[in-house]
Amino acid sequence: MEMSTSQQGEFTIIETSGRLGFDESARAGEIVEQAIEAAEKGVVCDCEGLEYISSAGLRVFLIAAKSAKEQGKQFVACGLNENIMSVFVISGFERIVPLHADRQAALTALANA
Amino acid sequence: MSSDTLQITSTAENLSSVHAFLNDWWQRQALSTDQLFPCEMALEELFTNIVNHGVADHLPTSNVTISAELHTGNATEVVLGISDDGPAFDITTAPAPNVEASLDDRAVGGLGVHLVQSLMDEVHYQRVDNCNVVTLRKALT
Repeated sequence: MEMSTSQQGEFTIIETSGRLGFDESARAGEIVEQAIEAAEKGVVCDCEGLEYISSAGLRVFLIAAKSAKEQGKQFVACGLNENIMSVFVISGFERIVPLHADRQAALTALANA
Repeated sequence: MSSDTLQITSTAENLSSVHAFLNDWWQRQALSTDQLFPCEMALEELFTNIVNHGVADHLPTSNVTISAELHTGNATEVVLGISDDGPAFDITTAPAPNVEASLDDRAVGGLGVHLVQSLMDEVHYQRVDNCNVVTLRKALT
């Protein structure tokens, strides 16, 4: 798992790649939590390089969504591959984390929100 | 049909051995990686369940055996086995989480078993000789 954060205007982008299973979930949760706290308006988790996820990884997204809502910020994801998208849908997570095709679509939606 | 097996104790550190076992086996069978993701995830979910919940109070860990086998009949399918000597737990009767709950009502957890049941073609549970024996089947298309 590799996560790097960058600023794009009022939003923070977290570029995520590799694996997000049980072994990586604690560290990923810390990084995402810090990014949400530091973000001005919201966070885009760009999952284009994400290859694997398990329920432990999904929990990172659920906790992030709850935390962002508490802080009055947005938390969205984009670039999910087919496997990871199917896991989100089976879990009902597309109701919890707004999903966008790519980073640009996510930023456009956030700017108009 | 011969099967490969991995015998480990139920510690979180051993999850990497579970992933390595399945990936090595998959590579040796020279299978397309299309269905590797759901199989890998299913083993992770079931193994971490045993690590977190499947150990008797008076013991430090349970003993876990994982097997992988390729069945070639009408359809080619991967058959995965995961058994443990922990307290009886039938995953096929575990309550499903409410996947339609809103963000505020959504509980953290309970998703693993639901994912396994959704992503595998078949999930069987048996209690045999004081062990939980789960068999997963996934057709390769």
